[in-house]
Amino acid sequence: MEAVIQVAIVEDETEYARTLEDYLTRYGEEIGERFAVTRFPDGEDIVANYRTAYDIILMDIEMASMDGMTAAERIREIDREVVIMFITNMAQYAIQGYKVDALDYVLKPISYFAFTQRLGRAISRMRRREETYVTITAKNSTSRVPVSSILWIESSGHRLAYHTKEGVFESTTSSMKEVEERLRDEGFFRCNKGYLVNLAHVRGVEDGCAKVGGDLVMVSRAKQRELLDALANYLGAVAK
Amino acid sequence: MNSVGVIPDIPKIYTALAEWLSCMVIIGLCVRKPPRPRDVAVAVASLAALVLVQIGIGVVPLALWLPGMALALGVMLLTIWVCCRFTAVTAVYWLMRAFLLAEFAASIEWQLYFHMVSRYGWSQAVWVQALMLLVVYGAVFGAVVLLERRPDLAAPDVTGHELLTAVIIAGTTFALSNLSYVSTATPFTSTIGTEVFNIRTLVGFGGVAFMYAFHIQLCENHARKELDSIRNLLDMQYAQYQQSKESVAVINHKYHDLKHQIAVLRRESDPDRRERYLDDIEQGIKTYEAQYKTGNAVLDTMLTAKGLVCAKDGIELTCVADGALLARVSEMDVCTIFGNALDNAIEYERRIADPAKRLIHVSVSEANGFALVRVENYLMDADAGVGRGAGGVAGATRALPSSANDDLPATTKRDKRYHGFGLKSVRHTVAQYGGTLTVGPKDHWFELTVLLPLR
Repeated sequence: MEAVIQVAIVEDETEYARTLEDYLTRYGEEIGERFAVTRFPDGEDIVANYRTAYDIILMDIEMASMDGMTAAERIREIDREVVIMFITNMAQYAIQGYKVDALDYVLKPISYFAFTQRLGRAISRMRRREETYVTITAKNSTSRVPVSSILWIESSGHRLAYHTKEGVFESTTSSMKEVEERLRDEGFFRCNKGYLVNLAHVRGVEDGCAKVGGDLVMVSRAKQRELLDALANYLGAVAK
Repeated sequence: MNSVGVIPDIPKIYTALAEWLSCMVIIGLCVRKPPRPRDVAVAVASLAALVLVQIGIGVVPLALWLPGMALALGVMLLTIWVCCRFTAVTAVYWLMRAFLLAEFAASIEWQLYFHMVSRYGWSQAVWVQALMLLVVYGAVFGAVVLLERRPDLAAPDVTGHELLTAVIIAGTTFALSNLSYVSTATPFTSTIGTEVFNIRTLVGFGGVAFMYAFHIQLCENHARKELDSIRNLLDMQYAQYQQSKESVAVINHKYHDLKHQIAVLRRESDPDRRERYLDDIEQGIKTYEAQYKTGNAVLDTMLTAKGLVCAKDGIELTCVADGALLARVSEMDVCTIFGNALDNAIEYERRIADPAKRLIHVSVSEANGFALVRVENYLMDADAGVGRGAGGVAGATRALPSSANDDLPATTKRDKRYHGFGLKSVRHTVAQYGGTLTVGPKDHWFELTVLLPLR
């Protein structure tokens, strides 16, 4: 069983909050997850003393003193990672959810089926963004680097150079093939014989190059389309 | 005068006349309007220039023959271009036709004249030559006018590819028919004057005929394409009309429901039940609050129209969209992308038996400097590869596009249910913006993802 998923419910109407809790319990049993629920009756309550302890926030939009959109904006200032999902009967407000990286919402009255579908997707995205690390070993040093900070990896001869946000790390012990295999599910793409790029940092693809971080990485002609497709799949899967 | 062996060759001025007449005939066929004074001036200048160039060709050594021909072609091209106001490609296409026609006319005229002189001892007086010129050129160009004055053979805009075919026909014809003048040492050439004339005339005729046949086909293709696009437009307008008719019907229907519900509400004295009625009404009209304000007017309209269709079919359409990201996508293309994606999704969802499972989610957001468009719809168990053997999984993977080639999901009967036909045009549209389209099932959802560079 996975770790407990921390959920905050921000909802002024007790009835809806209770429905959500029931749904969470029922869904948890179905999929073998446990949800720990914290309730807030108003946007103001969760924003005051906000702590980055939640995995998912279920947020009503229409609330008495601080509406859900404002609350979400304030939370985003502190917490980039938490998944925010609006639960609302105001579809016309939720449409602006992109402003706070809330690309999902559920309409009231809440249907169990629709709710669990959206929640299930949120959970899988949340899991995807959990940090993993790689260990880079060179002759006389070993570094542990978060995968998310790797921009691209270059192979030359028997050496690999990890270009990361924190600088370049050299590795003398592993081959490009091994690394590609190791990072298979982490959203990396082999765009040339000697280059493996982290799709999370690809900012554009043009003129035979991929913009990765501040660098331009050569993309082989045959791989250009494939790279865009891989990027589309990757971004589609991690978007909140 | 130049000659082939002992036989005199076509007087250069005849060639010039043929080239000029050929241009005039083609301009007449393409423009089909009385000439403007400027056109007349251009025509006169063109005749003078062609005569000068041809006389020049007759004087200069053989090595300069090809550059001389190129110069004559240049004058012809300029004449056609200026008088017809064609695009460069189309003008060159007509030049090819005019050139072959001129070569053929000059060749057959001289051959016939020479035949008459050598066989029947006709006089070589100028008036005989002039009469012959009049009769033969008149017959050749008259035939062309008769054959091509049908309005459906008028000038279409020629594509580069079509031009290439015309250039190949003209180039081959010209090379073959004139080989004997350049060298007599090849297996395909002749040293006997009359044979040279024969080869030139017959090959020239073949070239003109090929070109004519190609032109007819080209015009038919263009006409068909135009017809197709008109039909598409009509289809689209009809679909729109149908949709607004349905929308109006849905709203009328709701209006009547609401009137009845209000009547019931008026009679109801129990506040609890009254509250419940109000909830029912609220829920009933929930899906009709089609207030999409995404920041892109076309997307708003699109979502409102499709939203009403969804409401009618009991499909829950949710949408989070930053329409501003689509600013550089044209109105037509926004319609293509979202219209096709949503139509496919709706088409699939309305087949799902359980209304609670009819779900469509649309999102337009910014990611890594791209506009990320996603249209997702819930898949029935059978299509999601759940509760099936390997066949189900294979079916699901087949729907994933292979990124190595351009293939969209295979259109097997089962796949069609959620792919429809519009994906090709979405892919084409998206490619024009340097973007990409990927589609495929994921978990229990069919996902369509469009990635557009924001630039």
